[in-house]
Amino acid sequence: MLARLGFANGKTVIDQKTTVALEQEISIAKKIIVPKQAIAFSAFKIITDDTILIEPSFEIKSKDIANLLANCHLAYGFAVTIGPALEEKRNEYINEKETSRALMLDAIGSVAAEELAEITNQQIKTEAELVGSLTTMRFSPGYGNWPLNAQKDFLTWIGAQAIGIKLTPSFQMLPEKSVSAILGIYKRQAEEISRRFAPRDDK
Amino acid sequence: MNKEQFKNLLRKQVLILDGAMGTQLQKLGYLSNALAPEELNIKFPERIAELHRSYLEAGSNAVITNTFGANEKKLSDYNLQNKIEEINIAGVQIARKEAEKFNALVFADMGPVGSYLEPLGPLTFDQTYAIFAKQAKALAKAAPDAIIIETMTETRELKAALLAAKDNFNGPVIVQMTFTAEGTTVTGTDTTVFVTLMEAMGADAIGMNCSVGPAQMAVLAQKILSITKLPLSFKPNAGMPKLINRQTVFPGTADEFVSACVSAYANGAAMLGGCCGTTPEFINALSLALKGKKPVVKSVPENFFLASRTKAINLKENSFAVIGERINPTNRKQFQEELSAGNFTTLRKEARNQESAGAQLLDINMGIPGADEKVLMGKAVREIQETVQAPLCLDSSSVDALEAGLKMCAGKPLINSINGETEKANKIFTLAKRYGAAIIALASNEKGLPCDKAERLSIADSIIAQANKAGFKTSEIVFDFLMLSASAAPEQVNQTLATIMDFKKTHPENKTVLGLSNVSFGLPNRQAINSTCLSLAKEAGLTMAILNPHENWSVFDDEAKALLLGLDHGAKKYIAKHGSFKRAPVQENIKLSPDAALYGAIIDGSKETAAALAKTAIDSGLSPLEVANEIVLKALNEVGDKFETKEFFLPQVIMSAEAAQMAFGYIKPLLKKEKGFGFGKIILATVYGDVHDIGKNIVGAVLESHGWQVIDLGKNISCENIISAAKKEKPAVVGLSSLMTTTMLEMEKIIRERNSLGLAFKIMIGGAPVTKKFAIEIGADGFAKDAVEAAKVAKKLSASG
Repeated sequence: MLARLGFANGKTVIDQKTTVALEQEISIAKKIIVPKQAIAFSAFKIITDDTILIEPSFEIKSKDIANLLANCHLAYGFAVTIGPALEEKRNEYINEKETSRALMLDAIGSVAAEELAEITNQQIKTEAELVGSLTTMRFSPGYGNWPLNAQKDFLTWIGAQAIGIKLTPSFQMLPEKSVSAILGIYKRQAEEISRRFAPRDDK
Repeated sequence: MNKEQFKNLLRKQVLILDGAMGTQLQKLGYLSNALAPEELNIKFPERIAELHRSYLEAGSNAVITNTFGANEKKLSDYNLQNKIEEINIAGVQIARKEAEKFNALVFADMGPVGSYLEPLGPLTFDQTYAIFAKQAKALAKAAPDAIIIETMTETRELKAALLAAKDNFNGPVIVQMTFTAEGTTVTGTDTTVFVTLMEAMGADAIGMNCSVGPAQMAVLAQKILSITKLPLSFKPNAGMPKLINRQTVFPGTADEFVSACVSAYANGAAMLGGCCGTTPEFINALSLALKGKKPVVKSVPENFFLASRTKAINLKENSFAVIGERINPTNRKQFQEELSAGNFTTLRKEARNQESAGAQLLDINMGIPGADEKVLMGKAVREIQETVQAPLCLDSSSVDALEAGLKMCAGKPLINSINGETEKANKIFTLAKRYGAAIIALASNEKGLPCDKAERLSIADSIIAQANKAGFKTSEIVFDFLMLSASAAPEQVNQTLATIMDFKKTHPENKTVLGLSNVSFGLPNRQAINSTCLSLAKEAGLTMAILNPHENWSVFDDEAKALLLGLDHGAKKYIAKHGSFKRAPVQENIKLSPDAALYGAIIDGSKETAAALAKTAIDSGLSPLEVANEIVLKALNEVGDKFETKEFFLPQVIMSAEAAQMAFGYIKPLLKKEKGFGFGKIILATVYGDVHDIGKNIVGAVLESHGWQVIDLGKNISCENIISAAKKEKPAVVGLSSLMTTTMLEMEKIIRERNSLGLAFKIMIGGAPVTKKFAIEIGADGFAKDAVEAAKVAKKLSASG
């Protein structure tokens, strides 16, 4: 959270006033954040090098996602949110010209949402490891060549509406502090095999 | 059913409540053609009747109405707010029709409003109360057997709901909170605080529902039942729900549910049922498991709790409690000025420091001549209670101020104070019962403080009699037998000590308190007397003291003792020993020149003092223009430099900007006729399709602090509206913000439109996905990666004309 606010270890000197202010906003944030997660998983087919069909009928058009899920046998999608209360409070601060409080609370909310995404990712990873599988990195709509407008179908497939996530016409998630991502599950031996036989780069 | 009948029923019978409503409706597909679950009461009542029937057939003795979200705020999300009465009454009637067939009871359900109260959210206490009152009134019309308030997470909302129910319904009110695995609600309230509040406010029963799974909830139930005699309702869910593949999955089994319920019953739970994920099968298994079982009664010790939102202290277990006295502006001119100006920095600091120094409670006194004590008390409570954990002591002679403090208080405070004046005491008893508080009672009356012990004890007894008459729990009155100055009334010290000693013998259930600072008034080395007096008072049986926790309370001085016990007439021996005592000088703040003080306030981000310091600087002879340019802007430039070297990070920059804004708030009207300040107008907007605006607001704060007149159009602003505003306002610069790759392209559209219309203003852009390269590509005049750079770029663009 400090790094997000521009803190540089060894350089930035935080005075007591700012420390207290940060602690106060953290205290408020802890009270009003309501973390929720929705998870979906399914088998899938890679139809072409940029088209994946996730069962039953969710299609992704993205070369990056096709590459991500190659060698995987399951696709997992998740959506997490910390709820709307934090950004409502932040907006209240903005209206009251308490800009520094809004800034701090906003940063706390962003960190909380990312942490929630990380926790969810870890839960999926742990479940996968129990059955001898591994997880890929996670990938979100709007990154690489997976367009942001894919968010609509992606969130429907996950069932994110049930945890209160909506989309604006420009595909921004509301509440703002929400994260969605896809990752793949692959069997350990596939990974080891691919490592053993993957062509080396000739130098 | 009235409250007495409810109590008697629970003495004879364990009540099996019903199971989940919402998740069953979802499972059965009954929500598909309704806006809100509660709408089914008027749209498809037969579905709700079916659900009630299924639970009654499974063995429920009481069903809970389908009115959880039937309050004005929640119904307005679905445009059903005009049907509040209809939906609530129908909900009770549907339940009653089915329950009658089984001789079962109907509990009318009220759930949370859906928004937090200030300071966590936007609603005031009164607004929240009004929302609950409307629903309670409607429910009461249909005559349920009880009102059950469920799934509460925040104590002030809880208080508003309970008061609204009690004010509009004569029957029993059950109140439930929902707890996490950590044993607190999401807002940090634990089970002990919950019990403390509900006992103080007169709930007829308390309980828990949902959230943490059955086994963990049973552990919390045991905790609650060990400290309260109130009947407990226990409604766990079927485990923590997971949303997997668009289905809500409750992992818990009926076995786990019944096991937890039986455990709760064995500890004394009187009403048992299920929440989310439970089904008629769960309830059937439960009713069979508890068939014929009688209520378990356990003995519970008497407690005396006070609480904040997050912490309860038991004065019965505390041998001695300290109330910090420092939040009191009496004789503290600067503190008074700060509070009157809405500056609560010192207030918060005093609260934190006293708690760190060991104060278990914090006295809050906001009596400032000429100030609105009612407003100040409410604000002070709001500022402090999110900063510290200690319960509060609301100190005021104004009933209105006390009520304002009580409404704002998230816990159960102490009220300081009443005395033998009957009329005012009765008002405060009423307030204390209504909002949940204990009371300090002074052993004085309209005639003043009696001289002797007998009269003081007599006043105490009359206060107790009055409390009994008012229905206030007398063991929660803390008596203050008042300590006068030893120099002015030496014989009174002994009277006070003797009164405390006697009172302890005759009223062992009552606590006593003293404010100690007065005893040493007029004498040297005051702390020696204060501390010695405290020791003597503790020996006599004193259990609480209002004092400055930063002082040294371990001192015991023989001369002070002799003085206090009346053995040192004229304080001769005491003065002989301590007469030349000089208190260690408080380190004086180095007096800064007005310009240095203001400069420092901007650097430090002290917005509370900036306007006053700007005034001082101008009063000292500096022109407003000098103050603006040579002090405020110069300080901001230094802040900008510190930000670039990373000595400062963003919150510090913004705090400095806010301080500068406050200073300019004073300076600007004086600058009207002066030239040489400010850069003109700038319009800021987040582009169409984008609803992020925190970055833009930060830029706006920094620009304003640099003297720009910022016209903030807001977020999701179309090209047309931006151009239209620019034509009207003729700014030097327009700043565009975007936080999404999909909305960045709007910036190019605006630049093209400006160019095609030949408009003169410059355009600078910024936002997370925006780069310098992109800015050049689309023909923007400037790019800023952060708020500090935005100020520099805007200045440069303005100068380039």
